[in-house]
Amino acid sequence: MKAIGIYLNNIHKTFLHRVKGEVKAVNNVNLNIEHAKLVTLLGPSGCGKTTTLRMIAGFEQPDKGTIFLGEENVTNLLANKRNIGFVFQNYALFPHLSIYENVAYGLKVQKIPPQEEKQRVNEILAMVGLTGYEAQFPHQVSGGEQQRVALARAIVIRPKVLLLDEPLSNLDAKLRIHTRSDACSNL
Amino acid sequence: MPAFLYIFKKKISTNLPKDPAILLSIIVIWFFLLLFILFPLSKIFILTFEKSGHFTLANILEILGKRNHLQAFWNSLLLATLVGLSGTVLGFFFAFTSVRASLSKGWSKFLDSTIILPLISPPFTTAIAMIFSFGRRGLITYNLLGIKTFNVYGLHSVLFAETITFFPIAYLTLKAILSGIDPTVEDMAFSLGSSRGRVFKTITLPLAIPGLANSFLLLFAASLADFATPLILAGSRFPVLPTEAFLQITGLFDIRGGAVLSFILLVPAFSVFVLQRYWVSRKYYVTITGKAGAQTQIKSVTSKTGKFFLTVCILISTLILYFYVLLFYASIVKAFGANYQITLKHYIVVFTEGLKAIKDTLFIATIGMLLGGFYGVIVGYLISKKTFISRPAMEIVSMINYSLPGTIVGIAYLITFNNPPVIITGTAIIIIACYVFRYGATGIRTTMAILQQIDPSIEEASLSLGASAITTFKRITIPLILPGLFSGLGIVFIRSMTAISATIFLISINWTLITVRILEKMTELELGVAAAFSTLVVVIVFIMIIFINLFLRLFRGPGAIDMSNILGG
Repeated sequence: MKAIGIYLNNIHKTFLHRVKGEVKAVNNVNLNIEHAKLVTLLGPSGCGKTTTLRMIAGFEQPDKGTIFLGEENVTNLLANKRNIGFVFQNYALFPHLSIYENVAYGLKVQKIPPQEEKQRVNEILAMVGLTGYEAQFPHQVSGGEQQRVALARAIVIRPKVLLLDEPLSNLDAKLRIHTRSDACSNL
Repeated sequence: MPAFLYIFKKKISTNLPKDPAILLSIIVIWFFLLLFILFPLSKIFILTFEKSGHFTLANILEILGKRNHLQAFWNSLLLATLVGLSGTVLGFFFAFTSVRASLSKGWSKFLDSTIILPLISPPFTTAIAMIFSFGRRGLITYNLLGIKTFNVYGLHSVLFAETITFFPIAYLTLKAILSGIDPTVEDMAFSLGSSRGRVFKTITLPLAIPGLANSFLLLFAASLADFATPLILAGSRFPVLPTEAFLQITGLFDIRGGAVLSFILLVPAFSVFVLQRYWVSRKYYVTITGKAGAQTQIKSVTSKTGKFFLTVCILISTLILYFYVLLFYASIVKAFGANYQITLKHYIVVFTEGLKAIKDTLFIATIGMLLGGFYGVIVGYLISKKTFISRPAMEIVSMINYSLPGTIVGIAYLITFNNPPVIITGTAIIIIACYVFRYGATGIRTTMAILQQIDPSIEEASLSLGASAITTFKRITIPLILPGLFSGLGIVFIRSMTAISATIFLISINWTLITVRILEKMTELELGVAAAFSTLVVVIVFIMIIFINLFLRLFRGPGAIDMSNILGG
């Protein structure tokens, strides 16, 4: 695979807040993340971590500055063209689709042949320890299991970059440590 | 402190069941529910299935044996299905545009307030405006296009008018569903590579399906029950059940035939009610959320598509506004279609000859509102806060008259209260009772919704801060309940002002209503006076809504008025 880094240059993002008026969520951020690195953004609540991630994923447009993935300038590229895996704080599972269909969604979009789709989904589900859960629906499984579905769904498409927005914040302390070490060894 | 609260709660819950006041009010309420809901309904069953003391199906077969009546049955179902479909599609289109096309505040307010208009108007308004617009001397068909042969009467017109009148229900239902879809779910689908169209097809639409089914059933029921629009626009070649039942009674003086027809109407109406309440309402998807996601700038449609959608919505809203302007215009010209000289003569008729109807309507609506509000609060409080054996039955029975088409309720009252033991035909009491036990149900719903919203911990928080139980009730509970109670009252008033389908059977020489006068003026072809009356009702209802909104703003409380309850009929 080609080496892919994430490069943020002079990123600015301002929001309009109902009470505070204009809020600078992200103020002149420069960040270079090299290929195959695991990086954590750490900071107090409201400091712009989520906004930065959302801009890398393409859910928000920066007001100023550029974002590069490897050599490619993706600043104006739509989210669905970036091939980035994203795990939301609230998991954002598709409530009307089974766990298998949730994980397979991205592969169906990419028009992966059914045979390969099945194999890849099963592999990923085995990796996150959810074999046998294929036919369950998101609301039927526990919070920890939902979280692993969200993770599986994001990595099954083999994204160039995997972004996790506080993916562990909804798990209890014990499960959090377990999932964290799991994730670290898998990534 | 928790121990103290536990004791405190326990004390309340062991004390109240012994309370004779509660027991007494349960008995009194059951007496009225039996008298004004179950007893009249049973009369319809008796008239339908009884002949000289025996059970029989002959009455139904005889009525359905007449071609006209069978036709009316199928017509009713056809019309309701078509209105359900077209209204849901239109409502979804508006809701999607409003929630997903990033409208500016001004436009979204414009759309919201315009499409609410048909819901709060007397049920004839759209139908009358249709005649002014597309009738033989219609502004568009005759004056603009020069068509002299366009037939405004029939399925096409009823379908159009009912769609315009009822699609706001679909809009309100679907808007709540669409804005309830977690935006990160759609973001996620984008991130997995989906195009906009695919996100809509695979995520947004499937998640909205329970809402679509619900709105279809609501519109189906509304159209099935609608009496006013088909009466004016259906013409003789498209009979439907409510109008057939009405003509059977007022034209042929065949009360049994009317009762049987209304029973035939009851079957689909009741099925739809059960489907809607117990099947669809449980099918909503639970959104899986740990923590609410960040607010997203939703990009479901390109800005070009968004603008196109908005334009279509504005055009349709303009059509609705045009209908209302036309109605007002028709009320201030000498003879619409012939003489366009400005005059006040229709309003003079309204305020001289029609003054009695106005006074009667306002009197009945006011008394109905007060009694209905009182009834709604007491029953709502009993059902949601007290436990007694007959509670589930009380909840169902209190909703019956509200859920059934007005024609059925009206005919049931007519055949019941004409004879001993209770004779109130020809009085104001029968109309007021009809309103109280029909629209009071909205008061029950509102009260229950509010009481459920008040988390017990809110009251407990006040207690733990040192306030006494009485202070807590005064400073916390009452302010939380009041706004909802007030909008509940407003709904009863507004619906009493615009009702016709049930009360048309209950008016008399002594007591008459504005809506009935509108209908009479329509049949006497005094369209100007009918338009003036309609304008008056719209104005009164508007004043009432402004009043409610002022009151709500004063209390800043939750429980904003639920427009879907205002539907006339």
